[in-house]
Amino acid sequence: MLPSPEGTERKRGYAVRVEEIHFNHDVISASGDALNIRRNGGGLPIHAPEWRFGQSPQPAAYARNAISGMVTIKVLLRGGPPNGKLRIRAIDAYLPPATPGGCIGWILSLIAAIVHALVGNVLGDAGAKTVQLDANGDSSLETFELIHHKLAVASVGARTTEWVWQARVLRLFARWREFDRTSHRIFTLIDVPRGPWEQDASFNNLQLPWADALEKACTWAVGAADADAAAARITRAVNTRSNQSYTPATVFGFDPPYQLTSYMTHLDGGAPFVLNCTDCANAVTTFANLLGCDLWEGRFFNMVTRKFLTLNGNSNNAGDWVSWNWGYHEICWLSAIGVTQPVYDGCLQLDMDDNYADNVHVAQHPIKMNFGQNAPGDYRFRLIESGTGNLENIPRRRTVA
Amino acid sequence: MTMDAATLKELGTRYDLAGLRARVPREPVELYRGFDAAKLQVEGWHVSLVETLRRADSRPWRRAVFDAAEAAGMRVMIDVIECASPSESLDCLLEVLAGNQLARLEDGPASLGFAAFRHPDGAPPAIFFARNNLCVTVASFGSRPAPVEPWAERVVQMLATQSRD
Repeated sequence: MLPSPEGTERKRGYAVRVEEIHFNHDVISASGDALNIRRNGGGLPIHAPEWRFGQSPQPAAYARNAISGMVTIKVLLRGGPPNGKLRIRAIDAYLPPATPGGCIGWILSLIAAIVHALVGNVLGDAGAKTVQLDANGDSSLETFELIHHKLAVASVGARTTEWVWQARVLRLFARWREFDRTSHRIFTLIDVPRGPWEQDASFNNLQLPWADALEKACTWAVGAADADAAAARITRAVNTRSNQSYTPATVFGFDPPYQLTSYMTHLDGGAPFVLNCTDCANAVTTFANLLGCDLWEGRFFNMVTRKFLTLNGNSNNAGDWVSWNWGYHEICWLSAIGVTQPVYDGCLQLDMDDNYADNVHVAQHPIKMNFGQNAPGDYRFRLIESGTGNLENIPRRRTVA
Repeated sequence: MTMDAATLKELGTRYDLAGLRARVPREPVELYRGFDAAKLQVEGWHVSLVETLRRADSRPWRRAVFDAAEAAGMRVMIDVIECASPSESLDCLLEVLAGNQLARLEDGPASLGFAAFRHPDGAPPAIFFARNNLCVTVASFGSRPAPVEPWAERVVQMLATQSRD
């Protein structure tokens, strides 16, 4: 670790510090700064500065595919030398742990590097710049370019960046001295969130991405390098939450809004609860689209199903392979509803074993399966034993509350 | 009513909507206000969660979840949506039916309200009814099935007590 701030500046009787850091300093664009987000379904949107001296830091989110060109933050400094000038920068506080030599050391170093890549600094460093301070030793809101950042290539994740802030006087051979440290929770998404999420920050918009939902989605889909992988991981996650089980009744809102706050409360509470296909389709679409996927909810009607593995079921438990007579079933569709469209279903796992008369089952999550008709690889064939299965061509993305 | 026309049309293929509308009381009925199912006191059960949920039409929607003290995983959820009239409570009930995957629900006890439905045997127990201006759902909510009819009757009894008071 770097030494504590005992640098030249303090010895000279001033102690410059970071007062504010703005990540989302342009609410109109996400190409060079963070997205518009809010904490949750209550309260207000998160406004820059996300980091302010003496206050709880707020998270920020970046959409990888939207990043183009320079990424910047804005920083306000206080307590520097009156009317002075300083070179200022922020560097990654992370230092690889000391490891023994040989094979074990190499493996430990590799593990540490992987962990750091998945959960550590994604912002890189704030490039050095000369900052002019006023008579009070305060700066104006200064723009810093992020260098060595991975925002344009990062996989999905919820990461923490620890920065060491350093200053250097404008003198030949002057050394960088640490004067502050800051920590930032950063979400990295594949793309700008799609509906029901919005980016209009001109009012207290409940449909701005919620940080508590981002925390969950980024954890479920950590490491996903593209929208397909993100949608797949979200589908699996929704299907396998250990405190869920199936009921035919919609619990979290059939008519909009989708009760996302309530769903997350029950998920996090740990006590068992029930939900149905509409609830699962809402969850998959809402969390996947939060990461930049392009899913829609859509229904089809009138079917007796083949045996499938029920929500959160154990494939080795015969009782968890069930069949229902459904008036409708709701799933997620990629881009549009149609027979030739790929679908995702977080409510069940299909039986891919061809012999439906025996008790041998091969469970498979319906992830980017062709809805299709009667081909062995079709979702429809694997789910519907009899009935029309006719599509309702009404794509939905329910607003959240 | 917030349900879209396509959903209502689909619902009409599963239920006799005209017949249901004919059951709406014509005479004036008592309108319940501020009913709070979380105040139900049932031995061996405790309230574990109370929620107020948002609806697009701003009708009050309160949810209470009860946990059995002695039977881990046994839970009951009671949802109450407060409407302005019996006609509106039927609209809410239709929304509840529209969001139920089963091809058709069984009729529920007539004593619960002017329209009542329940899950058939084999499905997690749940009962749905419209009584005066309230739309009520009582559902087994945990990993172990809980009987719901006694809870629905308790709701009706509590409403009656509230009326007398």
